[in-house]
Amino acid sequence: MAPMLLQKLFNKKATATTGGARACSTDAENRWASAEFDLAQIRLIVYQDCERRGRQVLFDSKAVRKLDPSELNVEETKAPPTRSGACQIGCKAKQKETPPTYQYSRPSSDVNMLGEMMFGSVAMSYKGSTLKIHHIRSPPQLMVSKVFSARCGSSNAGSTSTLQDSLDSISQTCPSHSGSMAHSNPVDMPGRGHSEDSDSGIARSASLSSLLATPLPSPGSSYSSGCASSYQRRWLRSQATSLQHGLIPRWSTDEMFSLSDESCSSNPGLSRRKKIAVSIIISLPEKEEENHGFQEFFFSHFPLFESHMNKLKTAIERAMIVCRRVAEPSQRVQVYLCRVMEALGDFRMTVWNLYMAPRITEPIWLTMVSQSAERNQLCQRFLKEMSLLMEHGAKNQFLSSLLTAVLMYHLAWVPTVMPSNHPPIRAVYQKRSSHSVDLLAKCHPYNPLWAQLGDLYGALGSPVRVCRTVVVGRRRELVQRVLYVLSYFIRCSDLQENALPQAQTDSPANPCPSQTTNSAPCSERTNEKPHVCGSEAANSSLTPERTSEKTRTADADSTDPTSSSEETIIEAGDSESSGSSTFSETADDRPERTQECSGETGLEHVLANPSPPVHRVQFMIGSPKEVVNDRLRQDRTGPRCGRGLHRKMPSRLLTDSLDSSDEEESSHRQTCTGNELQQHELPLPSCDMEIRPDVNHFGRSLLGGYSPQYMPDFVLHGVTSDQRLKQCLMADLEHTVLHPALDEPVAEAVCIVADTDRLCVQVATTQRRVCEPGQIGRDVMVSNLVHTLLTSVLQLHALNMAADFCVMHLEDRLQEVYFKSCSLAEYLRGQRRVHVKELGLALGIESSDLPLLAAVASTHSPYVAQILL
Amino acid sequence: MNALVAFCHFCELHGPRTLFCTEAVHPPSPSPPQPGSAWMPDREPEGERDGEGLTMKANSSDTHRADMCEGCRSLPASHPGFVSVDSETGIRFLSHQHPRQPQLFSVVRQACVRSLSCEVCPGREGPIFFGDEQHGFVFSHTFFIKDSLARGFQRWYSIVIVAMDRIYLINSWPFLLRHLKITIQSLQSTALQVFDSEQVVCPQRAVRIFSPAGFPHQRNGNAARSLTSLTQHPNLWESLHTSFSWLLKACGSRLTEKLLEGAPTEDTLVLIERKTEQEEEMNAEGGDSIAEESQSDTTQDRDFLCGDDGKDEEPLGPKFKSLRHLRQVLGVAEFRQLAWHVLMGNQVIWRGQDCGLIQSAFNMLKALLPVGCVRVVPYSTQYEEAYRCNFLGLSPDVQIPAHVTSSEFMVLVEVLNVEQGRAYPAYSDDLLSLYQFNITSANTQPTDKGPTLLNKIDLALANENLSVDVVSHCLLCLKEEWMNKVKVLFKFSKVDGRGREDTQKVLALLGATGHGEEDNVRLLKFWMTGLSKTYKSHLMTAVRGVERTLSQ
Repeated sequence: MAPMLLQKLFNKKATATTGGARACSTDAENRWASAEFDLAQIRLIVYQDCERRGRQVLFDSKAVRKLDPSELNVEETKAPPTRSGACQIGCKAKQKETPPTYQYSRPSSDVNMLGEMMFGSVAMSYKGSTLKIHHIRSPPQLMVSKVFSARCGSSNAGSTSTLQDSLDSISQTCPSHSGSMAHSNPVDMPGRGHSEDSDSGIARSASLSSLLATPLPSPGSSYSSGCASSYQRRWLRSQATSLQHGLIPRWSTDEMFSLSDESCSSNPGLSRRKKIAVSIIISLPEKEEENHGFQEFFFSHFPLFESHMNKLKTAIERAMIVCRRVAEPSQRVQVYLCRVMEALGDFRMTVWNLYMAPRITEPIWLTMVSQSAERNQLCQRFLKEMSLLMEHGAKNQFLSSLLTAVLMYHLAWVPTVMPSNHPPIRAVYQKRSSHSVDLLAKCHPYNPLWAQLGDLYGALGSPVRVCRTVVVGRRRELVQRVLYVLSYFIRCSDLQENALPQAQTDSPANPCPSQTTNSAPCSERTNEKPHVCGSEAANSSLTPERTSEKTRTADADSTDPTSSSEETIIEAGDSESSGSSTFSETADDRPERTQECSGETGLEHVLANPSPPVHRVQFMIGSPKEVVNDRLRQDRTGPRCGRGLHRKMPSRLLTDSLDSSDEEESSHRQTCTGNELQQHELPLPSCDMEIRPDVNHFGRSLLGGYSPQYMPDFVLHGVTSDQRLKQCLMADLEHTVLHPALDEPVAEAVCIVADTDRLCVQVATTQRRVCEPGQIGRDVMVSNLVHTLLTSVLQLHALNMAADFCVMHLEDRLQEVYFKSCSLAEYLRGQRRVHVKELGLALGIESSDLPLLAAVASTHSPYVAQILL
Repeated sequence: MNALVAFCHFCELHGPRTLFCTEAVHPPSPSPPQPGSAWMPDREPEGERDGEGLTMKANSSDTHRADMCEGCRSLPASHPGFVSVDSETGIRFLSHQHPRQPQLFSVVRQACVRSLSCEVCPGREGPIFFGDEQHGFVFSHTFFIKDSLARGFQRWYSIVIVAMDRIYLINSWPFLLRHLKITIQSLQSTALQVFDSEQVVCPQRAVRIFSPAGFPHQRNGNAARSLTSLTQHPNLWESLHTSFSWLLKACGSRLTEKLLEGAPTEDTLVLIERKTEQEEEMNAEGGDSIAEESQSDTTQDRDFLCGDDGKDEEPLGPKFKSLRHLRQVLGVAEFRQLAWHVLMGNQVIWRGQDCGLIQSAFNMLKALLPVGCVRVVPYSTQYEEAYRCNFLGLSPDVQIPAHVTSSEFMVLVEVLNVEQGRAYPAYSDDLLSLYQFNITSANTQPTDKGPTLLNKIDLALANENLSVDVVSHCLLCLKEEWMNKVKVLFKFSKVDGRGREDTQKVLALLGATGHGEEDNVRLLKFWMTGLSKTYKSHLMTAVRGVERTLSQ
C-alpha cells in the first residue's frame, strides 16, 4: 500500500490524472523534463584580449574533437552533437584509466564576432570582473561571459605565451584571430569618486553585516510580529541593493584570472593589459515553446549557472597553470585540453542535471501553502509516511537525528512558527501569510527568488550558513519516503507570478497604443483598477477600495488650502498666489504642454523638483503656515506605505529631513499626502494582472527526487550511492563558500547526508572538518526535544487523532522549540559562560538540544552565535 | 523594482546621450544624508558638465551646451518633468532628462555610453546584459528608429535598465525583454509610418543622390530631429514616462511571495476576541484590567513576556515587582500554596487597604495563567462570585460569605498594615516592614506535589542566577507547552469524546502523568476553559470533515 502511494507521489503521470490544480503544477514540471536538453548544446570559449598580442581564442569546445583510440584513423567527419554529449557521461568512469586524446581544430568562423561581444568594441579600463549576457538570434543562443583581468606571475611572465604558442602550433592551419582587430584605447569610464577605496570600506561592512553577528538596528528588533527574521533579511536586502544609496559594491570586485601560481603584486601594470573571457554559449531549442521554457528556467536559475561558471573558471585556471609544467608541446596541449574538457564535462552534466533531474512532485509544505483544499489528504499522507519511517529506523533513531539536523540547518521553518499578532484568516489554516512582509515587498522591492533560495538553504541564521541535504540509499521507495517527509520541514515561501493576461494584446509598456487615439494615448489604461497581488492582499489595510474611494472624495472636494486636510498647492513662481491656484490652471499656462492626455486633472504632470527659478511648482504639505518649513523636505515626503511599517524603520535610516520627533504625526501626514498627490500627477497605468503559480521557482526546482547522480545544487535530493558524493562533496562545499549562489557572503556550507541503508545521519561542513576516516561528516546528536516532539505527534496519530490536528500539534510543538530558543537567547544575553547544567535545571534545556536551540536562536538573536559558536 | 529606466540615443553629432530617465523613489527614502544632494536643482549647464562631460575623452570640452541638439533632448530645459505615485506603496516614479539623484548621474551616463558605444550586439539590435559591482548592472536593448533625414535613414537608440541587484535584473530578463520589445516595436512602427509619409512627400534618397552637400551634418538647424518629431507623437515622453513607470512597478511586483507566519498564541487570540467584544459592546465601564490588557497591539506581546502589565502606570506606593519578589515577600511555602491555587483555578481573594498593592499582586499572579483563564475584579466593596472572577480584591471591611470561606476552592490573602506612625510612608522596598500577609484556605490537598508546571516555575524563581526576564521567558515556554497539552486534551475529550482509557494514554504521551498527576489533570481541565473561541470553534467545525475522511 505505502509503496504504491509513494510511487504515485513521485510519478508525474499518476498525479497528472488526479486533475485540478495539481495537474497544473505537474504539467509545469513536465515541461522542464520533457524539453530535450543535449550536453553539446553547451559550448565553452576562453578568449584572451591582450594589448600587445590582440585577441586570441584559448579554447573553443566546438574546435575540440575527442579521438576514440579505436578509431583514431577514421575520417574526420563531425560527430553528431548528441553522440558527443552522450559520450561525456559515458566516458566519465573510464577517464581515470586512459585519458582521452583530443584534437584541436580550427575554431569556427563565429569566434571573431563572439570575441567582439565578450570584450566589447572598446576596451574598458575597469579592473574587476564583468558579467555579460548576450542573446544571439540566429541560431538562437545565449552567451554568458565573465571577463576577468588576467594576473600573471612576474617571474615567468614570458611563459604565459608558451601555452598560446602551443595552441598556435596546433591551430596553425587557421588564421590568427589576433591581428585583425582594431584596438582603440581603453575608455576611462566615469567611476564614482570614492570607487577605489570603497572596495574595502563601506562595501564590506555592508555585506559583512549579515555574515557577522552584529545586532543591527533594524525593523526586526522592534518587530514583535512573526516573521521578524524573514522580514529583516528581506528588508536588509532591499536596502543593500537599493539605487537610492548610490552604487555600493557589495562584493570585492577584484576577482582575477590567474595565469600562474604566484601572485603578481610586483607587476600590476602588466596584468592590467590582459583580459580573459570565459564564455558559455547555450544553443536554445528550436521549438518556440521549449525555447521559452528553457529561457525562463535559465534566467530564474541564473545564480546557480553562474556559480558553476565560477567553478569552471577555476578549473581552467588550473589547467593553464598545470599544463605549463609539461615540457613537450603536444603533450602540454593534451593536458590542457583534457583538463578543460573534463571541467566542461562536469559543467555540462551539472547543468543537465539541474534542468532534467527528477523532482518531488508535491513537496508537502509548498503544496499546503498553495492549495489548502487538499490539506487533509496531505496531512494523512504525510503522517503515514512519517510513521513508517519512524518505525523503520526506530533502533537508530534515524528520523529523529535526521530531523534534528534538518531543523538545525534548514532554518526557514522558524519564521513559519513564530507567533503572529493577527488572527488567522481562515480558521482551517491556522497560519496566515505575513502582512508585514507583503507590505515590505511592495514598498521596498527585493528579489523574491533570492529570498526563497535563502530560505531553502537555511541562510537565516547568524553567521550565515547554507545547507543542503542528500539522502543516500539503494532502496528507492525508502529514499523517496525520506525525501517526501523532509519536504514538510524544509520550507520556503511560495512564489506567484503576476502577469498580464495572455489574452490582453495591449500592454502599458506600449507608448503609442494605437495611432487613431494618439491624442489621448493613455486614457483607456489609466483608470485605477485594483492591482491584485494575491488573494490575501484584499484583506490588507491598504485595500484598493479604500484608496480609490479616497481618491474619489478628493476629486470631489475643491482644493481648498484652508481645509483641515493637507493640500497640494502649486506655487507658480511669479504672479499666482499659492493659496488660490489650482493645478490645472498653472499647467495650462505652461507653454510646453501642448495637449493633455484626456483633460482630467489626474493626468497633469507635476513638478517634483524646482527647475529654473521662473517656474516653480511644489507640493505643499500641511496647512499654509507650514509651507515654508515643509518646502525643503518636499522631495522626501512621498506617501509612506502606512503607519505600521514606517514606525518600524530604524531611526538610523530614516531621513533626517523628517520630523522624527513626531512619528505619529508625520506618518499620518504621509498617508494623507498620498491621496492628495494623486490628483495632480500622471496616473500610473494599472491593468488587471493574472495571478499564476510561478513554476520556475526554487521551491519547485531544488527539491529533487531520487536521482542516479549526486547533484550539488539541490536543496534536497536522493541518490543511489554516495560514491560520487564522497568524491565531490568537500570541494563543492568549499566552492559554495567561495562563490555562493545566494549572492551574499556565506560563513559556512553544510551538507546533511542521510544514509538509509546504514540508517545514519552525518553532517559535513566546511568548518570543523575533522571526522572519522571514511566518514563524510560527523554524526548527529539526537535532540531530545525533536525526538519527543516526533514521538508524541506520531502517537497522537496512532491514537487515531485527525491528521489535520496532528499536524497542527506538530506546528505547536515546533513553536515550543522557538519559544525555548527565546529563553535561551534571553538567558545568554547576560552570560559570559554557559552553564549547561543550569540550562537543564532552570530552563529545561538539555545539552542535546543546545545546538538546535542555539541555531534557532541565532535567527532572531544574532549575539547568540558569538557566545555559543 | 529597485531600478531605473533610461532612454539613450547615439547622436550623429554628439555621440551617446541620455535622453530620458525614469527613477523609482521609495518611500522612507533612507539615503545617506548628503546636504543638498537630494535636492539637486535642475541647473542645466552644470548638469550637462557633470553628465555629458563624462564622455569619451575626445568629446570632452566645455562647449557642451552648444552641443545639445534636438536629437539629444527629450524635454525642454524648462520642463519640470513627470511624476507618478503608486498610491498603494508610496513609491514615486520621476522622469526627467537626467536622473535626479546625483549619485546616479554618472551611473546612467556610463550605462548609456556602454550600451551604445562599447558593447556589441549581433545585428546591433537586441538585448544585452552587462555590468559590474562598481558601475551597477544594466539590461540594455538597442534599436533603430527610421528617420528620413538621418544618415542611413535611421537613428540608433537604446533603452537601459540599471540596477544594483544583478541577480534580480537577470531574473527579470524575460519579463523586461517582453515588454521593452512592445515599447520598441511600437515606437518603430509609429516612426515607420511617419517615415513613409515623409518619403511620399519628399523622397530623400533622390534628394541625396542629386545633392551630396545636403548630408545631415551640413544641414543647419534641423540636423538631428527629436524622437517626438520622428514619431509625430506630441506626448511621447509623457507616454514613455507612463510606460517606464509601469514597467518598473510591474517588474517589482512580478513575483510575489506567500510567506506564512506562525499561528497566533492562544493568549493573542483571546485578547483579540476580548477587544472585539469590547468594541462591540462599546461599554466604557469595563475600565479595569480587561481594558488595560487590550491596549495597543504592540504592547501586548511584551506584556505576555514580562508579565508585569502594571509597569506602565507606575504610581507611588508599594508594589510587587515580579513573581520572584512576591515569592520573597510571602515566603517560599506560602507563595507555592498561593500559586497552586491560582493554577488550579481556585478563587484568589486579596483583602486589604492598599488596592495598588493588591493590583500589583494580581498582575504578577495572572502571568501564571493563560490570558483566557484570567478574570480579575481588582478591587471591590462587595464579594463577587467565583464564576465572575478568579482574582478578587476586596476592601478590608467586606465580609466574605460563609460558603466561600469554607470552600476548598478559595484562598484568602489578608493584607494587614503594620502599625507605623505614618499612614502612607514613603516608598520602601521592604514590603514586610509595611504589611503582614496571612494566607488561609479550607483546602486540605497537598500543594507541594504538583503540578509539574509549578515545580518548574518554582525552580526558576529560586535560581537567583536567572534574571527576571529569563524567568518570564521560561514561564512563557512552560505555559505554551501546557497550553499545547490543553489543546490535545480538549480535542480528545471534548471534541472527539474519547473514553477514559484512551484519555489516560493521551495524558501519558503528553507527559502529564506520574508525579503530581492529579494536579496536572486539574490544571489541564481548568486551562481548557481559557482556550479561545476561535480555536474551539475551529476544532468543532473541523471535526466533521475529518471524521468523514477517517471513515473512508
